[in-house]
Parts: sequence; C-alpha cells; structure tokens
Amino acid sequence: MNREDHQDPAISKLYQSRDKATPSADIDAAIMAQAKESIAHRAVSKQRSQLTWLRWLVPLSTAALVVMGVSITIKIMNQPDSSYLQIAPTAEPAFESSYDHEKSLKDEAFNRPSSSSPQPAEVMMFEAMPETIQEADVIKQEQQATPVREKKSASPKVGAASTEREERQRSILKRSIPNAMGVMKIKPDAVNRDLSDAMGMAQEETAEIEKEWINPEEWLNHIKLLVDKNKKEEARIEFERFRESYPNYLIPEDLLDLLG
Amino acid sequence: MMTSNMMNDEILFSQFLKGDINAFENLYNRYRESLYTYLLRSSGNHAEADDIYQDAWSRVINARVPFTTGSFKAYIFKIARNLQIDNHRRSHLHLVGDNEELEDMADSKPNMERQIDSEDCGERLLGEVAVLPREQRDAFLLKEESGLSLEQIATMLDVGRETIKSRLRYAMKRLREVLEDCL
Repeated sequence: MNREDHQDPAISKLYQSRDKATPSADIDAAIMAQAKESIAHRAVSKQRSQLTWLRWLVPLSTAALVVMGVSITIKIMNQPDSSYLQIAPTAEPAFESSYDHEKSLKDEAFNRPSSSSPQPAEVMMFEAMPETIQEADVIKQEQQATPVREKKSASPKVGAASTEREERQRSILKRSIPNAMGVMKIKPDAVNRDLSDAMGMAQEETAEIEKEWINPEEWLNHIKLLVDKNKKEEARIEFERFRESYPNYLIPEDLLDLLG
Repeated sequence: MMTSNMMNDEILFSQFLKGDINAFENLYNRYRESLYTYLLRSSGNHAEADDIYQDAWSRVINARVPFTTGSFKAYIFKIARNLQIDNHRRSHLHLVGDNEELEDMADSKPNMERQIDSEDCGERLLGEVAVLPREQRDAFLLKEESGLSLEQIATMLDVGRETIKSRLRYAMKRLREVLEDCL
C-alpha cells in the first residue's frame, strides 16, 4: 500500500462538494442567548464580589485600627517604667532666657521648699514634661540628703557662661538617653547641680555629679573615688542616697569595707 | 493562513471571556457548519446531532478560563466527540451497522438505475462514510470537516499519528473501491 494512501484528493473533492449541514435557526438563537446570559452573569458576579469587598472595607479598617491602638496602649502601659510618661509639664520651657532660668533654679536651690510644692522636673526632650507625685517625693528626699555644696552662692554668669551652661544642659540630656530598659532617669537636681557651676563649682566636680545619675555602677565608682580622695563623709552620704535609689543593688564588698 | 486563523480563534475566545458577545458570534459562525456536519454525519441522527451540538457550545460558553489545548478548533471538536461517545455509552447505540438507519438512508433515494453523476456519487460517498467502522469514520470526518492536521487529530483521539494514518488509509481504500466509477 502506498504510504500516501491515507489521503485521496478525488475523494476529498467529492466529499467537499456536498452541501454542509447547518443547525436550525432555533438552535442558533438558543446558543447566542446562552452566550449573552453568560456574559451578563459574569459581569454581575464580578460587580457583586467588588461590592462585597467594598462593603467590608470600612468596618475591617476600623476594626484593625482599634485593635492596633489597643495593642499599642497595652504594650506601653506594660512597660517596666512608664512613669516618665506621667510626668507633668512644668510651667517653664527648656530654654527660656538663660538669666530667668538660672534665676528660678537658684531661687529653688536657696529656698528649698520643704513641703509639697514639687521641684521643677528636668526637661528631657527640650520640652516641659509632667511631674508625678512620686517624682516629687524622690526629689524631696534627695534635696534633704543633698550635700551643702548645692547651696553655694555665686554670681550668675550671663553671656558666654550662660551659653556654656546651656551646652552642658544639652550634654546632660544627651548622656541621659534611655538605657537598655528605655528609661530615662534624670533627677531634677541635675539642673541645679549643673548650674551650680555658675555658683563657682569646678567643672570636674560637676562632671562627677552628673555621672552618678547615669547608672548605679558608675555611681558606686564615684563613691569609691570619694573614699580614695579621703572624702569619707561625702562618700557615706552618697552611699546612703545610692541605697535609697537602689535598695536591692548588690554592693561590692571592698566598697563596704572602705565605708566601714 | 491556518496559523493566523488559530491565533484569531484564541483572541476571539479570550475576548468573549472578557464579555465581548461579538467575538463569540464570530467564533460561532466560523465553526457552525463544520461542527454540525461532523456531528450529523458521524451519528446519522438529527436529534442526536442537535443535542450534542448545543451541549458542545454550552461547554464553551460556560468555560471560565481559556482552553489549554492547541487550538480552539481542536478544543471544540474534542468536546463534541467526547459528548458523542458519552451519549452512545448511555444509550448503548452502535454507530456501525445500525440497520434501521441504513434502511432510512436507502429509502430516501429513489430506486433508479445507477447514474454516474456528482450528486449520486456524493450521496453514495456519504452513505459509504456512514457505514465505515467508527474509528475510520471519525478519522475521515475529522480530517475533512475540521481541517485539523494528523498530529492534532492524533492528539485529540489520544493515539499516535501513524494510527490515524492507518485508519485513514483503510477508509480511503474502502471508499475508493466503492466509488471507483465516480473517481
């Protein structure tokens, strides 16, 4: 058999010469109608799914916002030390006129109100922060234990000195950036202490005082330094204050020995 | 060209899926006669051909995604053939050797002296095609009506190309023997 026997042009021609069969008009109409209906149905389905999605958009967004807000609030409230959020703003801004600021702080250093009027809290972010009752109590205790040198008088140095003071303030604030716990611990007296430079204190002493506020270990080192310098009385006072601030902190034995 | 025609079929079908009724109408008109003729001459039954024809287009209309086989032509002819097979399985009809149908076809022609003319030869050809074994008839009608290549027909029927050639060869041989005087 010839390999090409699977095709025969004559037979194909004869077959193709026959009229084609066609479906009836009814069948044509039915099929076209079904096609139109299918298109319409698809359009409606698509529209419905879009509307459904849009209908739920606002409620879902609102719910998501509420959940997010509540979560963030709970997280913040559960922070180990969230007291800094509760510090009330003081009346005075961070960098008012240097003279006025210095004057008010001097007044407080000298006058030392004994009762409930809270000491001005240090501004942490160059803005006034609120002060809690706890903070006021702490301030009061520290003031009572504060060494005499804080009450030294000195004439205010305006002009260039005030610029220096402002820079030192900034440096305090910068060095008081939150530690690993995210907590800033700046005692209000830090301002007083820093500005006590205007009252005639050496910059070294001021720097030493500033350091004790940063972390307990440094504070202890400072106390050791005082002992080394044979300032045992000051060292003891500082140690007492340290204990008040960190009652559970483990004190090295050598320091205990030094303090007697 | 065949290739551009197939590409147009795919584009038309995609447009129909996107909602273009005119695209569907073009596609429908393109295969209306060939598909119906294939079904009618394969089954020999108008009612069956009508049903399967409508079902086949219904499947196309309700498709949600574009077809994945080679061409729209192969796609719709395969649907039609599968529906036909399913129908025959359900009704337990045999395409080959349906005596009742053969008698109908014979009765439709007057008992005249055989004349060698194209119409008579054409009728004889259709008559002979109708009594071919099913596989040979399928291969012959698909080749003549759909215009698909041997490879495409083989793919549609899930057989090899040589198998299709063999079936066509036997079909042609039989038709040549019967229509020797016409050719």
